[in-house]
Amino acid sequence: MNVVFTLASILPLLAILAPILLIAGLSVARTCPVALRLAPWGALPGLVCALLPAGGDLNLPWLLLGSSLDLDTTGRSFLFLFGMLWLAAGLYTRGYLADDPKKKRFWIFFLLTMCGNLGLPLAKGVLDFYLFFALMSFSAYGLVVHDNSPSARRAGRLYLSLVLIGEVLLFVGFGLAVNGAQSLRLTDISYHLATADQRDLIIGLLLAGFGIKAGIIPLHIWLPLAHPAAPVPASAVLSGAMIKAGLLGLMRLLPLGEALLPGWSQVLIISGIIMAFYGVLVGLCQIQAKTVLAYSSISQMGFPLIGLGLGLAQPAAWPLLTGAVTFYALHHGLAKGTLFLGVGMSSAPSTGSPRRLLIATLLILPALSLSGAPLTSGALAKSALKPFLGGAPDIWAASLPWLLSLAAIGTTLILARFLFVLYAGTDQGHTPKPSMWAGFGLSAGGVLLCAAALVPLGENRLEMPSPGWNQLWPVAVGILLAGAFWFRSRGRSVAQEPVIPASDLFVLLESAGTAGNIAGIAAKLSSSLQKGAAGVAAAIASIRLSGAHDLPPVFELVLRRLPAAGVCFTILLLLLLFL
Amino acid sequence: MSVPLIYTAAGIFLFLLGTYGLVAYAHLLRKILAANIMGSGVFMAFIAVAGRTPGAPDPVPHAMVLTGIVVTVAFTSVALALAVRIARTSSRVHLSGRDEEQ
Amino acid sequence: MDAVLLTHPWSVWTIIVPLAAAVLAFLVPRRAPLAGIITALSVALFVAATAYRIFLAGPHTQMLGGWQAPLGITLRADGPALIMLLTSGLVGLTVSLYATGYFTAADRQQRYFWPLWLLLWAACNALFLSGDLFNLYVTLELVTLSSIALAALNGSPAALDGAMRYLLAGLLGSLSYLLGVALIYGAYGTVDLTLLGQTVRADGLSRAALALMTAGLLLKTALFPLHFWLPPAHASAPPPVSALLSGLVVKAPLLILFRLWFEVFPDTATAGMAHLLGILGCGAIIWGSLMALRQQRLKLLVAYSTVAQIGYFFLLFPLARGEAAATAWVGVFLLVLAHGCSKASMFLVCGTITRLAGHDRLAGLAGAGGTLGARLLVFALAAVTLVGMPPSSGFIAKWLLINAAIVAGQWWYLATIALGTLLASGYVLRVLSLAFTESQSPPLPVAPRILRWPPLALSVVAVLLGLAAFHPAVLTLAGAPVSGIILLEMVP
Repeated sequence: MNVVFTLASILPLLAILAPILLIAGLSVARTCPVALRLAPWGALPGLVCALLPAGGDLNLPWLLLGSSLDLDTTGRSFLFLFGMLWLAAGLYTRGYLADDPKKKRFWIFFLLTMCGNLGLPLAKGVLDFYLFFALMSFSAYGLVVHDNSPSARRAGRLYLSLVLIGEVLLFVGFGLAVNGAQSLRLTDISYHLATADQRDLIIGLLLAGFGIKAGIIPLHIWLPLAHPAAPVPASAVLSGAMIKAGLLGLMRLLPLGEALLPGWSQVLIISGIIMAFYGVLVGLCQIQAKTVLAYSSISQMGFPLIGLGLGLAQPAAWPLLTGAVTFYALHHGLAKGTLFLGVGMSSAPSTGSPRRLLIATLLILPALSLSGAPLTSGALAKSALKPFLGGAPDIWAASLPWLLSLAAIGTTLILARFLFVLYAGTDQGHTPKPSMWAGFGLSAGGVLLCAAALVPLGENRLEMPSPGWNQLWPVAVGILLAGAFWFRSRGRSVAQEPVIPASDLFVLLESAGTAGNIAGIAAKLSSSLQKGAAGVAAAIASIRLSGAHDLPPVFELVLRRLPAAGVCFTILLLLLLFL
Repeated sequence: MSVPLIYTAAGIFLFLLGTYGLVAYAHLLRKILAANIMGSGVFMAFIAVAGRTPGAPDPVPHAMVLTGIVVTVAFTSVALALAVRIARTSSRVHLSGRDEEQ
Repeated sequence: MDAVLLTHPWSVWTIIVPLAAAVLAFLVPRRAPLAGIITALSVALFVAATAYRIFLAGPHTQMLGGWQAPLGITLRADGPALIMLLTSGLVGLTVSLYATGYFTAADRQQRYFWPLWLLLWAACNALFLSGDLFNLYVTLELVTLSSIALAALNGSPAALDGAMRYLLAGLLGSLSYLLGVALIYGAYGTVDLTLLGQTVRADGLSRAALALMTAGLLLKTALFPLHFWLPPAHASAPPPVSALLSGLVVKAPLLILFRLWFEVFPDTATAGMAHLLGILGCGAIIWGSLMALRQQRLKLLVAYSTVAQIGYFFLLFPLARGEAAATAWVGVFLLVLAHGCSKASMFLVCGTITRLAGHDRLAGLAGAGGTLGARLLVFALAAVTLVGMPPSSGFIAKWLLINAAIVAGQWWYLATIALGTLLASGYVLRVLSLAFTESQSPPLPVAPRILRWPPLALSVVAVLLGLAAFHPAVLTLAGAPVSGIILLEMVP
């Protein structure tokens, strides 16, 4: 008993230390082969930690300015999600990058990112949280640029610039929030944020800082570039787990359940709706399976954000709503992770038809889940959100149910588009190796666990709604629409498809009428936003005040002259005397 | 005006004069000489301080001035060595950039 | 055993050992590297023992030769001095190790490097421990003199020019400081910091003395816009020397400034003066970073980054007025430690790169894969601390600084710190992006081990110091002239 208790209390620490130890193993030549063999299992302690009932408050006063790790209900759910995805991606990577000459470098960045991500749900203090968040964000750069193609490097640059901006915004926001609360604990901070002097400024900074990770429009611009640029397993964790880190940050720090903030509630709901539709519209115009999925992630992240908005509008309901939002994150994370992993499994020519069928089934299952088909985790997640929609401010109370159904049609369409693109063969998969199957299977199993509500959710109990027309019709309409588009486009081979903004479906939409213009504008807007952001990134990365020459600018030359220095010295002396 | 005050004021005047010379002249030897004048000004202020109390002068400032002189001598010799080396390697006796008044 | 550890004046040995070794290295040049290494190791030990004693028994003073304060020389080992000694120990040990590999026996520079560096080290440690204004002057002059000689070590025209500028600036600064000391002695008849702290009146004379001393020390610290001498001197010196100048030497006048402002003249210094220094600090952060962004040579980039980082130290003056004093104090001292380690490491990496590639032009390093790329990654690791990314010590320091800025309600300092962080990541990324590009040039030879490990170890230490920042943070406040609560999550 005693031993079990001790193990459970150090498990949180082990969850974080395991990746670090593996990195240490990888960097020593003698232990490298062992570490390479063990690396895929790096997330296992974290996952076990999320599943074991015990687990305590672990104080580490010597760390940073004093830190402590703890696992509450929300943290446990997120740790489960992150653990599942990183384990699945780790197993998958073992097969996927088996022959990659740079795999050691990949594993180091992979484990660093994992360490940051797994630490987030455990962090109890704001400094720990910031540490893990930054560790995750910066290390992920190595995953994005792994392929070292020009597009990956471009995506990496954009990603890094936005990460930097986000980190600085969060840094300032955390500083302000900590000073209001006079405490470093996340719970104290969110409690005091409700009444803080600079409440709106802090919330704005947090929203922008975390919004970059969560893909809030227009801060999402890095996402459709970076997620597809990374190798398949890295895309899975980027889109499944890391995107949720932004959500977790918002859930931890916003004064949810503490204050009624109708203004911010509207901001969150409106951004959520914009994300839900914008993601679909632009995603439909993409020709790469992973890009389609990345846009779908933006669209899907709109829903938990709407959930947060609802929470700010009805503080009393937050304790129940938190379960719904968490579950949505879990469900989407696992389903999206499975879909991403499936991209690398799909079009292997050597696989026999039964295997192909199995892969297709394992892809359609999460796709249906995401669109919210009856008896799937999606239906469960959406029904969990539904009771709270009435509490939305203004017109949203009445319109949200309809908008969500419309969004579900969009989700169905975009996932149909994904499957179409995938099977039309623009993305090249690998021959699935056994460990890739293990990862893919684990992730798909997670989707099933979600549907059975067999995931750690604390006291929040979710009831699967009985299948009904309400859940079925958006999916049905979506499938019908997708079928109609496919019917119109058959006969045209994929290679002839124009690139963004005019993709195959876009042409169809154009012939259908005005809707095409909207999609076209959306696509153009998106690409111009991306260009703009890339420009800003380039500017940050290489500010040159004037031409590239060695001579310093005139002002510096003037300062360097001794008489000028003498004048400066005298002025300074006089100022010090008389100020 | 008491005698120590006059000496102090003169010391500060020498200090300012030296400062002007240090920054305004281009020739390195002049700069070094100006720095020595600055130093003399400071030491003069110290000596004046020693005489501020009636009776026997305070010995501590004298000790400080002696130390200060040693430091200044060391600085001057390093500066001269540097100036000589600059004159040898780049055949000029001023700093690079030709930015000071000649 | 513990009694010896807690009563012996360990800190005195950090002065005596390098001083003796300097003489030895001058007399027996052949054995100089050995003497240097033994000194480095023993100084590190003595610093550790001093830290242990201060941690358990608090700050302590030592009268040299048993002479009392007005006549004798008092050495004080308190929290601020300890942080400086830690910086000196870490940077000194690393640079000494590196220098054994960098200067070869055939090299003429080696003969002069060791005696000068050991003298510099003794002078630095003596300065950190000094407890009176005049002793501070003498040690500061020793520091400056040996630094100038070191900066001119390679004898190139650029180095001589840089050293000459350094010397002239140093002379102006130190004589201005000395005039202030004369005024103070004239008015109060003592130069002991503690005694002065009790007797100084906030009158015009004190004000004039403070202004003179401050202006002189600003020139020696190279605060913007008086930084003209720093980039040429630091960039043209041999890399181990640059590491010492940037990592250690600029902190010496800084400590004197802190002691003057917070121990001797807390009431004389006005808010206007403090904000003047703060605003100049902001100017340094922005101007230094902008200049670093547009440098074409790696070493100049690092030198201008020092100009920028010096600005952060000066935020202490405005931020430490009021309730945020302790937070700002700890933040700035941690930053001194963090900057010392990271900057020294960056200069040493520059040295290795220059040795390998034969130059340090950024354009020529593009496509630097392989062995150069690995060096650039070490550079990036050191830069983690410089930029202030978690979990490095630089992060903790900046975190405390922005907290102090918020508590003090001084938003422009907060904004400057944020902007400075962005700009710093900008110039670091410029260098780092070279490491991620594919190699085009023929492979270069691998650097000798002694040129690879010391900078790596130092940058790792700088990062880990942030993870274990709790004890340094507490130690900084031992005997510090500020008090207050700093926000620590778990106070044991």
